[in-house]
Amino acid sequence: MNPVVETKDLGKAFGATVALKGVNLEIPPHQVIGLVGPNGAGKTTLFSIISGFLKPGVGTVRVLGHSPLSPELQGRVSILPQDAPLRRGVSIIKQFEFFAKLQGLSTKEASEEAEKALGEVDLLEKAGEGPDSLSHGMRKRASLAQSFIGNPELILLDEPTAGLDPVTTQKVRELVLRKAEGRTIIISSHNLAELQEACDSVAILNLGKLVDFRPVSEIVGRSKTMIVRLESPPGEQLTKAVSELPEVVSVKTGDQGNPRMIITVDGSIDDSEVDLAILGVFKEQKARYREIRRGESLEEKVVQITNEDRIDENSGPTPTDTPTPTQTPPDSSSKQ
Amino acid sequence: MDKSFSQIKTVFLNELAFTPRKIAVSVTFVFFCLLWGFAFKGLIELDEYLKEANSEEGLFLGFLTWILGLEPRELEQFEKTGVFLVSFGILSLLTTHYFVIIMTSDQTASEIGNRYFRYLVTRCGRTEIFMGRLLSALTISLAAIALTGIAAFGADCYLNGTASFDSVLFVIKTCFWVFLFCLPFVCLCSMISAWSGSVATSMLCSMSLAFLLPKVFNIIELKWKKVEGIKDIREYFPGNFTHSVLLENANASNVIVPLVYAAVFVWIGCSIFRRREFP
Repeated sequence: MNPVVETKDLGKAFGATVALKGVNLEIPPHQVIGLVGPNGAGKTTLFSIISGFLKPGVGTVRVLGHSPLSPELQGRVSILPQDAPLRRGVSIIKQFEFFAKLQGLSTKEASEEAEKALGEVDLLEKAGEGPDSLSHGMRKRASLAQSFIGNPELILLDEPTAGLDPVTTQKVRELVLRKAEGRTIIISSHNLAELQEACDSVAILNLGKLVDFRPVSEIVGRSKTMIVRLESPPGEQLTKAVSELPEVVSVKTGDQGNPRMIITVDGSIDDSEVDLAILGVFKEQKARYREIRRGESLEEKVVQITNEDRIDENSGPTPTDTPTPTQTPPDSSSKQ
Repeated sequence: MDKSFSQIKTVFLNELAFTPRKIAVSVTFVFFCLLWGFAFKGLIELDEYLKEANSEEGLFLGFLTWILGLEPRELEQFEKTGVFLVSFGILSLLTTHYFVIIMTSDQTASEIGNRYFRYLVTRCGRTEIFMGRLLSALTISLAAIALTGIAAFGADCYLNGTASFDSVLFVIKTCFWVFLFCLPFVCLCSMISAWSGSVATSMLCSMSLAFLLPKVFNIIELKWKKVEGIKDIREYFPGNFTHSVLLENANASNVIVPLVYAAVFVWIGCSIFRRREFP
């Protein structure tokens, strides 16, 4: 299937500041993709170029097979923009009806669509109020709801849960997953735990470059890594006993402030067998642990990848200074 | 084409409904009404006074000639149409475009600045957004001009005790010329608004042009008064045909010139808006 978004050697600079550099990306259809990276990594710039708000400095972008400014894309791409307010003093439902009409819906259809969108974010009872009389969370939900109006094929969500409480965040995540059926959603967020649960694949941007784009399961090494958080730093005896297990490939230990073991296991052996063997060693050694989980957290991996990239960047010219090969998740058909 | 027209209509109607909520428009409109309220009151009293004391008419007209830079031939209009309506015409032509510039300077600027357009540009063509907003601004301007025309006609009926066809014709003609006079400025506002994304810049640039251009021509005329036809070049610049209109010797160029300027400003503004970034 044709990629929903395809960028080739994409670059963008604002004066002397390079926002994007040599980004080659192919986003496959019908997936939820996370876009992560530290502040200033170029996430919002990439969103803005895909949406046609900004023009690429160099390189090309194709969205659903068209240039981002093509009239063919009207109503097929929608966005939850970061920090863009809805109109003050105009009820949300009127604004939603207006958006729906612009997308070609009749007055009756637009009214139904606006109600449906507001219902999905539990804002129907606030439909007649303007955004200025809503709380921050409600405004965020309203902005999110407008991106579902009509039947967009590609939805870009820039920080959809920023400033939301955990309950609302959970609801938003469920809504996004519901809406993902049959369409592509790209989420830019700093809430990596949320992305880990919601996304099929994650693209990591750092200093304007695409440093990784793989399925979440592959990035966090879910099938090959086990993290054990301990109550105290592991002794030599415990580390040795675990590393001597036939199922274990290697063991790394955390420092004094972060007592943990990162155990890389043989991916070909059944998960439960490995878990039982490791737990058996812990029981023998009377080691106390707080948490055992499969795979590293996305947050840990993103920090690790971006730090590695920074070190590479500081150690002189690297192949990433030239356009990188187009990245597409190798096995991204199944949701983890 | 149908989709494009439908989007222009949707943007136009939405903008028209929203315009009264824009602070700049509503406050300017209040001042516009207040000014005309005071002006009509003053003109009615003046008209009544002059009717009673014919001998003073010359003094008043002399004063008006001096302050407005009118030519003696233009004074004939006062006798033909009456002091009240002609004064209304002069005041309209001299002041309306300033109010119109303030009311229409924010066609796209503030919403480029606050990023609201990010909700629209993925749904609707940029040309359609630009045209819809421009049409709404023109409608608001036309409504303001028509309102003063209706008020002037009402006041004239009150003064004369009857409604005459000539008065109706004069008011319609005045409103037409005032609208035509304002047209390039509204389009200029839309162009600068799309380019700068700033209400202040849009207002300042259009206001400067509206205010400074006649002054520049005054200086040119004064400096090169011996050059034949120097006065005629006024007519080829926006907002410079007051005298022709007052003398009732307006020609085709008086209509074509503002239309050409409007078309050029719209074309440039639309091109800028289509190509501009929304950072």
